[in-house]
Amino acid sequence: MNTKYKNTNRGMTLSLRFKICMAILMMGLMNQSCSDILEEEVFSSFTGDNFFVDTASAELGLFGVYDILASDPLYGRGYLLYFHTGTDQERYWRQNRGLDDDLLANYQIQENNDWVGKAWTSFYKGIYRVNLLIDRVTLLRDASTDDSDLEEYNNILGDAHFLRAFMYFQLVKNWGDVPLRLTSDITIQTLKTERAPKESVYQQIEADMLNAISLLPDAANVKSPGRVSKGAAQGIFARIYLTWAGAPIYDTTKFQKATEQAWAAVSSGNHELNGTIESLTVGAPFDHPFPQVFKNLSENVHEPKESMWEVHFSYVGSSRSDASTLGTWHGVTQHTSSSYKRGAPRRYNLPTFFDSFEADDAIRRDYSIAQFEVDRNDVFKAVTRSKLKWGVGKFRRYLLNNLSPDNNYDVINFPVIRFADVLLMLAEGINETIENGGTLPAGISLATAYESINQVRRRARILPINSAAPLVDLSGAGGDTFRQQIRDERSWELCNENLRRPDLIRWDILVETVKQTGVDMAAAGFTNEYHYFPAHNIQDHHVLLPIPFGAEISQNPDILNTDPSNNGYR
Amino acid sequence: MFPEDPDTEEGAPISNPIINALTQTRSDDKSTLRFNGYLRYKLTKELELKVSGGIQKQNRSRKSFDALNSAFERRNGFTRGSILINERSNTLLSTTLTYKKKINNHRVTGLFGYEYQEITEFLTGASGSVFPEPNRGVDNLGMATEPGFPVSFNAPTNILNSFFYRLNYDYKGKYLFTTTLRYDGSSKFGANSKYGFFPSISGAWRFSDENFLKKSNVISDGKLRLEWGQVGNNRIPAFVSQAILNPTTYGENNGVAAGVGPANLANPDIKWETQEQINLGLDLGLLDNRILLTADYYKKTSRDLLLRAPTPASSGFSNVYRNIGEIENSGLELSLSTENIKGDLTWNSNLNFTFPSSKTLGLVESNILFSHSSWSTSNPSQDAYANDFITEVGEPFGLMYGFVDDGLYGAEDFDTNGDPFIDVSFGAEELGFRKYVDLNDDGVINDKDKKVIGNPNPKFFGGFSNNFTYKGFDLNVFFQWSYGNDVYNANRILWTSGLNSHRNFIPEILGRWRTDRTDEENAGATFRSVDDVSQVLTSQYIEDGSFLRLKTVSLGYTFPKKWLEKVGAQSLRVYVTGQNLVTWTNYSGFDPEVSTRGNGLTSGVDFGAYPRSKTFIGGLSITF
Repeated sequence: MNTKYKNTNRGMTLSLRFKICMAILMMGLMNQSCSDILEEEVFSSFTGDNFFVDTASAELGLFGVYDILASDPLYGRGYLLYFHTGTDQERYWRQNRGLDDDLLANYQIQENNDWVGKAWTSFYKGIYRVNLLIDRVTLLRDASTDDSDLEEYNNILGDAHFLRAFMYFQLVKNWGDVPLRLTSDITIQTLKTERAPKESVYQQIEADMLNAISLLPDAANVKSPGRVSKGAAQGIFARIYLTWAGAPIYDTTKFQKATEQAWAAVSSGNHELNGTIESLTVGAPFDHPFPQVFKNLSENVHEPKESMWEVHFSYVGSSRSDASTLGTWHGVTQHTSSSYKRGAPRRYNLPTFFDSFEADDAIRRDYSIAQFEVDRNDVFKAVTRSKLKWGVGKFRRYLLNNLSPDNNYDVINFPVIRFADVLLMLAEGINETIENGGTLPAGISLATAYESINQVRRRARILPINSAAPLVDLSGAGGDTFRQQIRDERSWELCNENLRRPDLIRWDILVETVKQTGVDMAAAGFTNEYHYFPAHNIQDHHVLLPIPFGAEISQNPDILNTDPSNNGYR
Repeated sequence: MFPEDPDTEEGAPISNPIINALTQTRSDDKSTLRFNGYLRYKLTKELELKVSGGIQKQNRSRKSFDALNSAFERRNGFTRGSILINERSNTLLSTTLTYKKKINNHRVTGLFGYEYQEITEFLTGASGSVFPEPNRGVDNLGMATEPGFPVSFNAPTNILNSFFYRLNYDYKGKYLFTTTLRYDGSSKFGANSKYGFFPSISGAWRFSDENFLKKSNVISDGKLRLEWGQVGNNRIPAFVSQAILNPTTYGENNGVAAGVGPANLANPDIKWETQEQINLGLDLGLLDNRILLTADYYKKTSRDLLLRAPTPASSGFSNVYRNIGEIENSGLELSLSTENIKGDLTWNSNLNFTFPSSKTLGLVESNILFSHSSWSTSNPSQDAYANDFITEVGEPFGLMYGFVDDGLYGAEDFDTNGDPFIDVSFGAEELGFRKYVDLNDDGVINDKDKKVIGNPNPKFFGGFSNNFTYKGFDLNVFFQWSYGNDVYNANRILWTSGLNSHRNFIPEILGRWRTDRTDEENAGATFRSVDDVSQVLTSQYIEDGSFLRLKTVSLGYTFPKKWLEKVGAQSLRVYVTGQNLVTWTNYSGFDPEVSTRGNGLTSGVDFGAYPRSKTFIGGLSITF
């Protein structure tokens, strides 16, 4: 019987119960036989115990996990906007200062910061969901005899193990040692846990990723566009290994592993840079050539060759709960009364970042850094450098085919990993493997690293991606020079995609870079504190976030036993 | 007509109450249909069977609409509306078998009973947004250009199944004895804890009927009462003992991918909360009952207290319904009723006092349970050290917990570099900002500097009622008071800071510290600067909520019968009643008798409470 669709006619049950109980009483047989009438029946919901019975229910469980990523505290708004700014590229600015988003983005972080608490809570909510899914679907898979069911279960488990690793990666990156929950078997007796050392968290992430990659399909065979592919997982795995190899753990043997994963994604042939550069045909004076990969985001075109995995959003049924602030609060300034509706960025690109681009890289610079705004009459107007309000050109709400009715939420997907990132990670992995005495995978060499970075450089300059371009291409003997070239290239290619801050942290140069940016801004004439708050506020402990007080410490004070300083916040 | 939103970010447009009233629909209508009936059948002279049943159907409809220019529309750029309809039915069946027997001076009444109650609820809802102009609001949601998802919800059934008996014994009205036993089952509890067993026993002795007092001229009536009993409490939502999955939506590919996610952490062990009460009472009538004195001492212990308790978020859940511990309420109630004047003019009065106290006897998790009144949920920021209530074993429960004020930051609080001597870990230290007492002297203000700063429970409360009659006139004057209870005035926290927040302010900020004033002028500042936006609870917001209130004055006149006979009426009375006429209090808010965020452990909070209204009623009652 399919328990999911179990239904009972309430009226009949009721009158039956009446009769039974009346009869019993009348007969003077008052005994316990009425007791099972107190069993609770579930009508509108399902319970965790009886829901997971087939591939369809397993898939619903999986989308419940993806739903957490798209929620408001995470990629819908909080984690998307406030956790990754405060770098040498951006400033966070809003008129109402002093609220928790502003404090978080500008390194005035306290352990009671509401967004920190919300992100922590949401990641662990997601981890419970995925643990439940893994526990139940593993049982179903192990009991399954049907080949197509088996494949489906394995697919779902691939996504699930990936998502668990992905969420723990966010946790370990931001909070260091964190509670490691791996089962849905939690009762009120086992609500409290201690922090697990970050090394063991990484080991668990590694195990889950290996499992995921063995189970996930190639991009071409992914069942629906929001789900992750093997190539995307390999890219994220390379990112995980590079982070593990850098600060604060410095396990340099992981550079080699990162290289292997990035190379697996590159050599699979399933992914490539999208070389198409288009004109936008709106906003004439600012109609710079624009890479199709970002235009696709606004047109809801899924082309996972370059944009390997996206967190998906929609605005259906008047519900902003599935939508995101990408394009509205992280995008281009658009007047509320314009026909493109409101764009009110919080994160603005710094003029010093603008200055860092190479002279021949103006095309990439000018589509990334939106030096314009849209006024109430749909007129595109230049924004002067001194205003410090250059928006984020990669996420342009005005390109959306169907605008949501909402001033603040719309449907641009967030690209979590792009192939350009994988190419640059491959270059970095190769260079660092060599520097640290590791072994490169068969068939690749330092030349592969230069070719990878050069492909990204050629695409940025609208040159054929696979043909050598002597004026643009980098070459050399690797080492420190190449390391710096890769870092710069990452900055230019991946700006505003929430990768700069984690990069600076794993390279252990966040604090010095932010302070230097303050000096550079002052030299560029922006001397006031409010021009760039981070340089005035940043401290060494800001590479990590505090364990949130309200959400965790107040209910689990012992979590501070292993580190009474709470990551340096007390 | 409306100024351009001055804030280009998501901001909060200034909320104008008049425009809100015109552009927002918020309605909540309930209609109830009740049907009750019973059958009584005398089996023998002593034995009676009674079967009664009742059904109650309730229809509740909630409508909401945010039209053009409403605060919602101006903030978000679109209009929206929704209708939610609940159909609730409550079915009750009860069967009792009563036995009555009187032999000489012995009187026995026995009762066996069975009770069954079932509450079901069904909810349907429709919503939509982006309406054309003009539109018909909630009367035609179909005009929405962006229809919302329809909702329906068959709420978990709530069933109560009880068996009970009661036995009364009475000898000459002098010795009274009652015992009851209830065996209650509720569907809400865990599979093995559905039933609770709740006995009670009580006795009374009318000692004034004893020989040694029968002839007393002073004591006309005297009764000693002793009661002990237990009752069950099942006030939790259904399904907390099971792990429920809720539907979720993921906005995949600009459509929606359905999913499910856990809604709660199952607590399969959840069981009845048992309230055990002991009561010792004395009723004394003096001077032919012109003076009636009643004294009661009670002690009520609540075991396995049911509460939605917060959990560490790393468990994947933020709270769980559970049995959290044991608390005790005890107190003394005194009541004195007197006939002061008899004759044409009569004056009766009743004076009563209650002296309550409470104590936490035990908690399951640790010795301390923090709670958060969450008055500021609409303002997610500044959720600083969220817990503003504390319950600690050995102490009264639900005490207000916060920082102690230490005036305002002045020049003397900073060193020569301009750095403050004491850091505030959750806010800024600037001239005119609030200063806190560093209780543990570690140079930092953080959660370790909080202490108990208020108790919402009064030391005593009571009332004084007076009835006067003269000829056809009757007059009732009723006073009410409470002494020693603290009120946590959260209005003064929110509506005093953040000039850019487009809020209304309360007049207290007129005396604030201001940047545009000289040091001398600021020396007399009575309130922090508006730039200090921290919303933590401090001793400044704890106010004495003691009050004396003239609660009711009612004057009536009953016309003499002989006048009425001519018009064929039996009685005619005209009256005028005033409620909440005068309140004497030092509390600065509207009403000291307030608790807007009470879950039992967070009472006494005043946040946006609707003021108690002063009402006057004039009436005429006529009987034919």
